[in-house]
Amino acid sequence: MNESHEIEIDRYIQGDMSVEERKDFEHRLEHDPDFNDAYQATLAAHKLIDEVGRLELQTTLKGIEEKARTEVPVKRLKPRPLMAVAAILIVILGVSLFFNLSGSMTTAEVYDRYYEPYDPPSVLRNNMDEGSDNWNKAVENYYAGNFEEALRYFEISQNDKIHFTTREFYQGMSYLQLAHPDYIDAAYYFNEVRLENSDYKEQANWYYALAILKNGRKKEAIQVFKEIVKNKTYNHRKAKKILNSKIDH
Amino acid sequence: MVYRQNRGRIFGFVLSNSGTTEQAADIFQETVIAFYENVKEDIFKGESAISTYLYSIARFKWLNQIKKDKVRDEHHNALEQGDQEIKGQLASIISDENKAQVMEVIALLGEDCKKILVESIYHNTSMKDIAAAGNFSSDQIVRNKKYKCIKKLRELISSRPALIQILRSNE
Repeated sequence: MNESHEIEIDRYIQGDMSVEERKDFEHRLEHDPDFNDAYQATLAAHKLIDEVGRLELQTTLKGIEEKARTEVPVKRLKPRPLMAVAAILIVILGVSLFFNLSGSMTTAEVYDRYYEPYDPPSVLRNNMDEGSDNWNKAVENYYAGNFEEALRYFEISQNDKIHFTTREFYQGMSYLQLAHPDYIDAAYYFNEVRLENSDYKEQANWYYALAILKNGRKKEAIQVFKEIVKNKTYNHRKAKKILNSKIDH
Repeated sequence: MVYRQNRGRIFGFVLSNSGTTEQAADIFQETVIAFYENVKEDIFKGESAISTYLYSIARFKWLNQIKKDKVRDEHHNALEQGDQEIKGQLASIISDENKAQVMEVIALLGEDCKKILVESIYHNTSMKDIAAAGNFSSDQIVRNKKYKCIKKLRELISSRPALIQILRSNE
């Protein structure tokens, strides 16, 4: 199994796929026994890691309990080992703060926590794709992290054999990755893409919401996150977590 | 204060329902872990107080334990009502006899892979945060490493059918 299958399976297990991607994936699971075997094996690997995570957490908690018992032997009748209390407090408070059950975050902090660049675009290689030079140069620059240059080539790749939504999606991604990101232009391109039916519609919706949130349009961003959660589209779990947070300006 | 009360309350519940201090400690630890996982998976939405939720998990776990042991049936029947508020999965810790097999595989996987996979898969930490904490130059490097580690782990598991059974039985 190649790496792209590994990535696909991982994204499915983590719930990071769009509705369309999920459908395709499940169809493939049903009809491709080798792919299904690979999926089951990765699922087993995830389960094993979950077990290890639990065991590590348990060891930490046991250590706290043990330490408390040995350090405060005279307080046997009072089951209140302070170390344990403090440490458990830290563990659970940490959880609470991390997931913002009690704390609040600014729009910029939400963006920084949840923004991760989307997988880079692919170059077009075969004979059928002749006349894709500008697109390919844009992609090369994108990979190299030269987003200014990538934008220049994306702009002039309009006649290349690439769907305009793909191009505009990556224009949006490039604006987000500039040394000084331009959230307004990024939001413009994501908005164009999310209004069309394409492979990038759901992803564009997610990045659009993040870009306008970062840009201070909190109310509108919340509406888009709500849509994402309601329709269970790309990154709906993350959108739900954002909605569960208290967001300040 | 809140957590001191929770610990005391959960220990009190287990001890007053025929449990030992050791069992109370186990239930408390499993409760904290289950709570952590339910927050992480967005199952706990903060609709009830954390203390109520923790107590419900502990209660559910202890009653399940009693059920499994089939020792304290009378208590179980009397206490069974009212636990419907706990939804979703409540993680159980793998038994000691199976733990060795899991740890053997993890030892073969190596410390770096273990760290990346546990952070990413169990704690849901973003690639960006893992990269920053682990001094990786970019999240893409962590992502690549993660897939290599998963591949290696899959190979280690696939040569151990007994381990696959253990993982399935602990679902």
